[in-house]
Amino acid sequence: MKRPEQAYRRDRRFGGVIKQYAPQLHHFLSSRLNSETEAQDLAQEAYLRLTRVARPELIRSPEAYLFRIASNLANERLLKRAQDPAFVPLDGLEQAGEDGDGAAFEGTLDQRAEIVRLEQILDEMPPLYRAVLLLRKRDGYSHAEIAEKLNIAPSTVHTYLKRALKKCRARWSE
Amino acid sequence: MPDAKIKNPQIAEEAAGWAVALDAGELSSDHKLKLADWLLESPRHVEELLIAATLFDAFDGVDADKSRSVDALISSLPSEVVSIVRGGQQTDRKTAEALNGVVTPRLPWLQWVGVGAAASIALAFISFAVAPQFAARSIDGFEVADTRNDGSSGFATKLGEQRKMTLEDGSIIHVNTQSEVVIRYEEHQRVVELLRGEALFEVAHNPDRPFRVIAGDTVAEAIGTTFNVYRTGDQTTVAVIDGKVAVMTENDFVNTAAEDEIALDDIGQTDDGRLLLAAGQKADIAPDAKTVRVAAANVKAVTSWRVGQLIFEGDSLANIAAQFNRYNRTRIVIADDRLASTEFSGVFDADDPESLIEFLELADNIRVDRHSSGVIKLSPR
Repeated sequence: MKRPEQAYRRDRRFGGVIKQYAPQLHHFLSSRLNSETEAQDLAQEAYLRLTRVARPELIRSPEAYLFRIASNLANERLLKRAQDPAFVPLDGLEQAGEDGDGAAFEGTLDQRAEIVRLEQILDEMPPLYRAVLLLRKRDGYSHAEIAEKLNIAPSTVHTYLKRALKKCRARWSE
Repeated sequence: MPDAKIKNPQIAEEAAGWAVALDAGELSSDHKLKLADWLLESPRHVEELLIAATLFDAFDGVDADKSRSVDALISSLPSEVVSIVRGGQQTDRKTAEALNGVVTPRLPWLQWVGVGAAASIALAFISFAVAPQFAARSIDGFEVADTRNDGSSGFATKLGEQRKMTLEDGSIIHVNTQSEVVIRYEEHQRVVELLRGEALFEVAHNPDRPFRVIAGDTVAEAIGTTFNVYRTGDQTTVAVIDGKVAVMTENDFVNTAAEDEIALDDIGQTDDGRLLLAAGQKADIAPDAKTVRVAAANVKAVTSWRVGQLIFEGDSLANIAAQFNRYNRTRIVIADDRLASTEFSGVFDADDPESLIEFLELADNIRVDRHSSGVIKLSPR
């Protein structure tokens, strides 16, 4: 059970654009459609759609456009795959078309394996990266709160998160 | 989750930066403009940001049972990360105790400074080891080394510590990490001995009372000047930033000038045969090898330690690792001779060895292994 404070913290970061659209993307990218080619195709198509957005619109909120376009694409593809008997998924896909929040996927084998892998990568990171990442992602502290807690500059929090993410990205594709 | 290999580390890094910026909250309109431009630059950018954001999002589920203690991680930090401390800190008893018994005075330079100095230098060692209460007082924000009865005072800096002090004549000494100096001002000369490590001297001009820095067998005499002396196990380097420095050493001046070095014939000498280094020149004096090599000094690189920076220009990885190890408890070791001699250039924060490791991780042929003891091992991949 989460303490009220915990719930409050978690709620606050749900507003972010990644949080808003990533679940669908996550479904797409983490399912068995996760071949390199698929991810590339999706990015390519998202890029093309992005270039068609009127510039004044785009610069008002590029991140929202990017993730909305990409998650729509992911949904389309997942639905298409679901209708294609050649690609019958073993689990999880029935949620793909929903406006999912990822909860339906919690506990699936894929995701558990994914978490285990992320935890392995986490444990190999320098302690400071680990601390910042845990405070942010597990405990839901804001960047400013982490800065205060660790007595470091907010820009340093950004730097450590960035490095941790980059490290994770590199290790993930090894 | 995508298994897409990183094709371009630079893009992956930028994508990670954007993902974290988006995670921090609403972007400024300036950043939105930048992000739009960045995304439109290449489909690769779109791909990497989608991957980075998805990966970052996936971290939400990590360590749900909270088996990892952030507090424990934080309390483990001092042993991993040492910030550069500048100025003001006094040599504490613990440091002095650590030094006690470690320092073995060797006085081969006596011939340079005269027999009369022997007694007081010896006293300096003893008093430093036994009674380390060198009260430093601050005047106008400067550290002022307290002069003791025997005319000497001493300082030792800890790992990652840097210190600046102003002496009675207005000369300033900046002492770098893990260094130790003994200062003795006499009527006719000002003597600073560098027992180990590195110090930068800004010398107040006084021709009647020469300023001499002794580092092992080498004596550097300032002639109204700023210069840096760095002493390692087998070598002392004197680099002149401003003015001139006369260098004398027990070694014969063996001319070993390599291509990028300056032939000794082209270096000025004093009447009594000392090498006269000008601003922008440095001399590497190796007592065991009995060689002196003079070359042009990169003044910015030589003095960068004062602002906590390490600047490398085609330095060997062995030297780069050694430099980081001077400032941090994290030990970087290189398991391969060929790798150790590989040259790199770059500017780093001295107290941020991770920045070096990340830099090296971009190289395909270097493998990085972290050990829990704080040792980072580099080997060929």
